[in-house]
Amino acid sequence: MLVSDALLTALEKEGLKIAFGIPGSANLGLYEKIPDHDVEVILMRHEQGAAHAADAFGRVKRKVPGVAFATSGPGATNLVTGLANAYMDSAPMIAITGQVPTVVMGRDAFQETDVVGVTMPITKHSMLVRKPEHVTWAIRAAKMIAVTNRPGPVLVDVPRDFWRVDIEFNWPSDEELLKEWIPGYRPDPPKPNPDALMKAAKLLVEAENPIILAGGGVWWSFATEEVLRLAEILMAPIVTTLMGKNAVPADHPLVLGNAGMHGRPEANYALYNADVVLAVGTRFSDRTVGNFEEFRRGKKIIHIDVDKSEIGKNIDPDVGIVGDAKEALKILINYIVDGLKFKRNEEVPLIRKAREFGQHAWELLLKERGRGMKPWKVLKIVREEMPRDAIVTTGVGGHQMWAALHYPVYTPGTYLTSGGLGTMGYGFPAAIGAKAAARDKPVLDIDGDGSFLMTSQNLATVKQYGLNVGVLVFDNGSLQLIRQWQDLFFSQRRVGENLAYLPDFVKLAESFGIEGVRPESYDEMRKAIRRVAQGEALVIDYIVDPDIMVLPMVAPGKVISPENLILTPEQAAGITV
Amino acid sequence: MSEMETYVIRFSIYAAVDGGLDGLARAIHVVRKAPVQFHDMAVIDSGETKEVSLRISGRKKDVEWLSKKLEKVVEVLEVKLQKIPTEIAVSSVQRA
Repeated sequence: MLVSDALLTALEKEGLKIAFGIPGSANLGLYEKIPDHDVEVILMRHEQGAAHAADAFGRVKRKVPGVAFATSGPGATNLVTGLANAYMDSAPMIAITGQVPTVVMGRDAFQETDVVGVTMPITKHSMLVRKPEHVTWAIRAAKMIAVTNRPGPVLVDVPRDFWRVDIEFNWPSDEELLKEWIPGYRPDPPKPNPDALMKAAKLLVEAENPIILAGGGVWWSFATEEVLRLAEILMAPIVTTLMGKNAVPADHPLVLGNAGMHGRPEANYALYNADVVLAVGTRFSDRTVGNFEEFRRGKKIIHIDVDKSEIGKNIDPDVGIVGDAKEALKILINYIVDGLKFKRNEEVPLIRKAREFGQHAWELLLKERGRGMKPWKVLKIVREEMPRDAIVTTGVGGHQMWAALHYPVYTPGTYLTSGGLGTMGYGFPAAIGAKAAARDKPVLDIDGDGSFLMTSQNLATVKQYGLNVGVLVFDNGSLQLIRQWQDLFFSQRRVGENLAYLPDFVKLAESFGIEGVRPESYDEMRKAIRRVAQGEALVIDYIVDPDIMVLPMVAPGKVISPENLILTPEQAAGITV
Repeated sequence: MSEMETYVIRFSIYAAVDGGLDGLARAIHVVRKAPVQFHDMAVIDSGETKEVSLRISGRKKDVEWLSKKLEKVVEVLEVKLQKIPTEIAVSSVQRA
């Protein structure tokens, strides 16, 4: 069997039947054989889009990573941002790149880049296939590494001269793979320490105002049910990180929403004022807590994470528990309910105080300001019109923070955003990847004008493959968050934020054969969103007043506390960052 | 600075598949990002593995974190951390 057939057969056997990519000279030998296999390849219009689509596919499927194909050199380096994005958000994906022939490798051959070297710090693993017969081992290893333990992206680089080499197809077992190929890799998370869990149980039971901080790891470990159950036993609030917004249903009565720099006031109040924080599957990003030392003060911290290098990295916990979140939470619940015989009947006092604080804050925040349709009202319409399990993706910028604040996620796994890397341009190709993973669900990309422009060439892919997704473009003619930071913290010196000569997004969509609309009223907006909910591909150009700031926010470097919340632009006066 | 201490981190890299250079490079990428001071490194070929000995100084917390990060490198088989007594660490650093 040829190496190209062997690789495609390996993909089939691993259930990796959809790939996003672009062909080039170094992977044409692979593309040549695609028609002979049960592998569909979706032509993206830039490799960055292929990586984001594969990342999103993996986020939706969880145990089936998305696959991206690219050629050597620029094709491979164009994947880099997407790989870094997946790495930061622990999304499983596999990039398969063609490499220059072995005889010229290292000699600056045409379109040569050491992509394995380039991607070492931004992938969970990367490998060059050094012998043709290794190709099936490499794909098997890539799949195992991508989806087990803490998920992440893996890159497999295949020299061009291998594609037509005849090999004997070899399919190693898991045991052979772990023994002969990746003996240092541990696919199974360590078992959580029972003593640490009992200590955590006692801290939670004795706490007056405990809180659960749910991160993206809750989604990856299938631990949503356990997080909710524990919260109900403790009658404690749940707040989330930006990634954790995807992990718990926002309409659960104990969920207060996402905390952080642009978090909901009630969530930030509760997180800051809790006496015991149970953090699950989060790395305590600076965007979640702000100043680490100040956040830590006066609290007991319990940290559960599958990755032991996350325990104590940013915040030193009182109890650190390494292990799978679902498994750890199950044991913790057992200790609390059966061991300590604990069950609280009323909500902890913190919840009422947080809600009161939030109510006061929202009265200020939602005052009519600016011209035109207000972002929070438009997002309310989006939520009302899109089904509960519709998938929403976002780009990065002001619109992303509006969505974090005002688009409640009801079904875990349906909110894909670039949390760690903050990659502008993520939303649209991610929507395409999500649609490919869940063709029965409507998908909407909530995007910014700057963000959408970076990857909008993939409109052609939507049309070509009938991957109908909607795009709601927050069109304010500026890099909104940049403009906001410059106005609030950089002496109102607006430099480089003005997106002059933006395309007409309606005409842009139409030039790709996709309909575009520009609603001028909430009613028109509702009709447009409804069309996306019904499965149409549609670009909705939403004109937003650029002077409407995304608030609340906490200035960078400041601890995320109620006192530091900026609810009006005037409150930012004098803050230096 | 008083909390800076010198350590040796020893780890094995599985080298049977690719000779071990990729694993070594990946490990070095991890060390580069750690808030520690790098002194020197020795790599010994041991057949299927490369045995790496890395001498660094740093806060205990940061060095332990680095050890944990190294354990995550797919090619790394085992990581051992050893603190070097101050007098030995000082004299060897001066010699270097």
